[in-house]
Amino acid sequence: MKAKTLLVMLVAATRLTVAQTDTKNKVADQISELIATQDAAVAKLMEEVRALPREQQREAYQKGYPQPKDTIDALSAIVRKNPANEASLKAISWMSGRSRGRALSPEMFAALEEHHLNSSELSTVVLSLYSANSEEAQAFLATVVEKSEVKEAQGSALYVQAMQMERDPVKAEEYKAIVEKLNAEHADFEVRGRKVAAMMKATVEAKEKLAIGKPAPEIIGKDVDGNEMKLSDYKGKIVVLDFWGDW
Amino acid sequence: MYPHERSLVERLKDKPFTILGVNSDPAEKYKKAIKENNITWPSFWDGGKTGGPIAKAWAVRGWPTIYVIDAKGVIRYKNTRGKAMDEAVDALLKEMEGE
Repeated sequence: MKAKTLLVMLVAATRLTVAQTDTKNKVADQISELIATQDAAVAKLMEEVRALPREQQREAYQKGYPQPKDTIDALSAIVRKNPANEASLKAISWMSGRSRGRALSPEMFAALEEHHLNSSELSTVVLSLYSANSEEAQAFLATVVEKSEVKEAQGSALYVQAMQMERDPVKAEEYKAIVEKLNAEHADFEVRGRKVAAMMKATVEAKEKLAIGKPAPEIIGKDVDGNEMKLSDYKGKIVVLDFWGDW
Repeated sequence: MYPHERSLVERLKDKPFTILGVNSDPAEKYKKAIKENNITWPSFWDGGKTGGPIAKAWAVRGWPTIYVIDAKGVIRYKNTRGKAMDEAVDALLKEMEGE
């Protein structure tokens, strides 16, 4: 009797596991198919566009571009039902990449925070958020900085936070603090092969040196005919220093 | 852009004032621009491309970028254009006369 019960339980458990694995794979398949269909449509368009004369290419591309909205809606629905699934991270990553983070609904950020915070793939999603300035996106970036155990993701989140603040004079101090943190904790973090912490620090320092009220740094250079010129040659005059080009 | 700067230079030709350009065009294009637009003020030539050594040292990311520097060599205004540029220069001239 006891053995029979055990057997029944075992069979039931096995069935459950199989069922779970099935659902898991099914979700992954659905996601892959949706993404592949949309990507194939874009690839097909690209091929057609390339066959056109150059001056018609841009318009044809814009006109024919298969809007990803339906795919994004379908993917979002799957993620909502299966937030923990690994393939859901792939779906979110794809949606974010197609919309610079703007297509992600609050639930997508919730799924990331609850289930994917320590995924090694997370930094790809984070880096695509540079135009996502919704409250949820901001909160998500802060959570990654604070709680993710993946260093790459942390560095990415700090970098994106900094990028979003860079041109906002109100956030100058906050920006500086993030650049300092990046330098202290993520000096080796790279974006497209470049160590960004040091680059950002150099820009911050240059900007401080060039603030209103600071002495203008000397410029020693040449005119287009090779004659030497210096900024200090014009001391005693008001100088409008004009970085220009003819385009 | 050029007509405004030309008129500023013309109006203040007897004052302690100059426009000093930092040009990022290829040499031939730059020479042509000087001729065609009657550019009378001096310019550094920054190596023929954006991101040349002077632009880099001054952290210039967008063109045009403008700094107004007073007679003592202190940065006083940034990215003032058009009428605001005239007003900035006039204010600094007035300040000099008052000293």
